[in-house]
Amino acid sequence: MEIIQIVAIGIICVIILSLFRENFEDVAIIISLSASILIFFIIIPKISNIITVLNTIADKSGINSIYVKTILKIIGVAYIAELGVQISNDADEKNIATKIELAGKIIIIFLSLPIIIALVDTIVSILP
Amino acid sequence: MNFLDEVKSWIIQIAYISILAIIFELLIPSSSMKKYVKVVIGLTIMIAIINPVLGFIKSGININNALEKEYNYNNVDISGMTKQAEMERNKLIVDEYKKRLNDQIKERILSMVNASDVEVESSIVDDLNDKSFGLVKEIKITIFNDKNESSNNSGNISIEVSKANEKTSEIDNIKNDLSKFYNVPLKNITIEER
Repeated sequence: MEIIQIVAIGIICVIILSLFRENFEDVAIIISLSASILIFFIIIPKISNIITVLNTIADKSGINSIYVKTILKIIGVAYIAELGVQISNDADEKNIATKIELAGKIIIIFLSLPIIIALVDTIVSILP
Repeated sequence: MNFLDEVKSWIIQIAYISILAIIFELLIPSSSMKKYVKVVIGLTIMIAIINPVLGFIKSGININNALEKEYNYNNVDISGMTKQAEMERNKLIVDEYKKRLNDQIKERILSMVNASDVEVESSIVDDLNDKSFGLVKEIKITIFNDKNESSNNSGNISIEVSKANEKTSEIDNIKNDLSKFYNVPLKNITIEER
């Protein structure tokens, strides 16, 4: 059961962090980052399964696969930006956290541009 | 049927899309990014749902064409049926006309000669659209006079000869009469005696 591993890793990290947070703040950040990366790598095989199933459903639903890929990319961008923001927040770098968030939002909008264009085209073509 | 299949596939697509949307929304991280990702997912779902409708609207003329085709097809069918019915009716009219003509000729001959039975077969112009419809082309008459013959047999031979002469003159009479009455050339009237 991966969840036990993950929770164990999380609890161990929390214990270590609570010990090191006051004296070694820089080490604490590295530990939390490595813990999140570790958890992420444990999760990856599951994610690939989920994405395969999603692609199958998307094929059946007749959605253009480009859209599905875009949505998955956007979700990934959201997660990565979220990771960066939280780590920055943990390190008390609100400024950088805000910038990462902004970058994440802009990249999400940038990725969604083809979808927006397609939708606008569709709506315009409906009008007589 | 085609139309129904299209609607069916569209509904199935919408079902799949809604499932996909729910899964995507589960995948979204619960943060300030959530609303952005949700908007994009919503746009995609909109496109996916609108696209088949768009195909519908764009091929609206096609649908009309298909409908017209169907109606035309029905019309053609109906007109074909009416044509057939008309043909049958015309045939009936011609048949009835022939029958009555034959009856009339029969009555006419029976009034002129003393015969037990008369069979009349006439050929006429049987095209209703023809101007000369009903024109009698040929008449074949078979006169049965067994009764006369049986009575004749009991009589004299000399009388029979005179009767034969009488009969030829009778036949000529009938021919002339029919020829005048129905405007048929004499050569087209054949009378046979039995």
